[in-house]
Amino acid sequence: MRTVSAKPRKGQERARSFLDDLTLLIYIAKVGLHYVFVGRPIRKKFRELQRTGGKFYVDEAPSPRPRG
Amino acid sequence: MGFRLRDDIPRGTTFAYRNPPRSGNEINGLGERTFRRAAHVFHNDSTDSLPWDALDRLFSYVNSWKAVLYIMKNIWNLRKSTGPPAPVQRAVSDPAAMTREVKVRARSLGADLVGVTTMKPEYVYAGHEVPYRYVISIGVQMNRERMKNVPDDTSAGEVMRVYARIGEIASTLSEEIREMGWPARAYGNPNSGDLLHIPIAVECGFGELGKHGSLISRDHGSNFRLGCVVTDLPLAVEDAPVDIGVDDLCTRCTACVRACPVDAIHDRKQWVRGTEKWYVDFDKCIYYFSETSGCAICIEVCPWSEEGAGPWLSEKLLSKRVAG
Repeated sequence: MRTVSAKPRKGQERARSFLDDLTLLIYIAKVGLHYVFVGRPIRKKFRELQRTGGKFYVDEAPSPRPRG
Repeated sequence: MGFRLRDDIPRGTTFAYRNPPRSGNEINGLGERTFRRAAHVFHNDSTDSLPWDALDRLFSYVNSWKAVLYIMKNIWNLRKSTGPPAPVQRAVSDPAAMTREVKVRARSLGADLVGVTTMKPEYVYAGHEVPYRYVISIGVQMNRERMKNVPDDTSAGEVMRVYARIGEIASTLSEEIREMGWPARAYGNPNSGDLLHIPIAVECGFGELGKHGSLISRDHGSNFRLGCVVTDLPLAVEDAPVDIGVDDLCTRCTACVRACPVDAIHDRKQWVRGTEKWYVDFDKCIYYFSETSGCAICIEVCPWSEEGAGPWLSEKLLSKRVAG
């Protein structure tokens, strides 16, 4: 099994820069926008199936979102 | 007055797989009598591809918007989780005094529970590395009032509010340790993929594992969340596991078993990777958990979670044991 370590690895960490913070803010904004716009039709379909007692098949879900 | 589950909680599940992934119970090692390190099943931080990832993604989409706002806040808080230590190292001649200093600081930042233990391989997921000497475990209590209508948007938001708070506390603490010239890294996200937080907290004396698969503390019941800081800062390990009488009650109490809408809680201990312990059926729990923004019914119906009940309950159970 391959071994993974938290990124960055111990001893390879570098000081955070303004650009790092800006990149992170853009990523956070993407997570939020993805939740709102990509998630809206999914939530709508889910609530409808929940009301009618239908099944939402996970295997047929759309492509990955930016991870939070 | 005891906690009362609302009458209109959702029943049944909507999410389903046409071709279910490998059983989460099998991945977790249910029924295994020999020790092995834990493997990831759900909640991914992108370091691995997990069998239940597709459901995890849907969990994120149907999650309460309040929870999502706090998730975004936590991502921001955790920007300080790692970094290089300062070039000049503060000498530590008295690790016990340093431990006290760290604990006082964690509490002043907002931690309700703080403990220190030595890092052990069994705390780390299989295939992962956390090359640090010590773990500082942090617990923060949830607001019981906001959890009273579980599962709902308010309770989901409260869970993630507390994780965001832990993210802030752990990150700040790790940053301050690095300023002393010692390596440190914060883990303040339930998705943080390297560590098993419950065994660490047990070793730090926070409490015992309950029938509902969550930690039970004497003072906070299960109404709290966990995070940690790993570090090489010389510390003294003075905390140890505690016996507050959890098993005495859990063997007789069925509050969580009866309340679980999907019958996911085993009434008896199970063998899991070489240890006989309380275990929640992953394959039954996870659909409901995902559909209800993290559910949390079992931890709120637990008698230990009732505010102020824990110390009295513990004292009563332990005295009964002595008398018996």
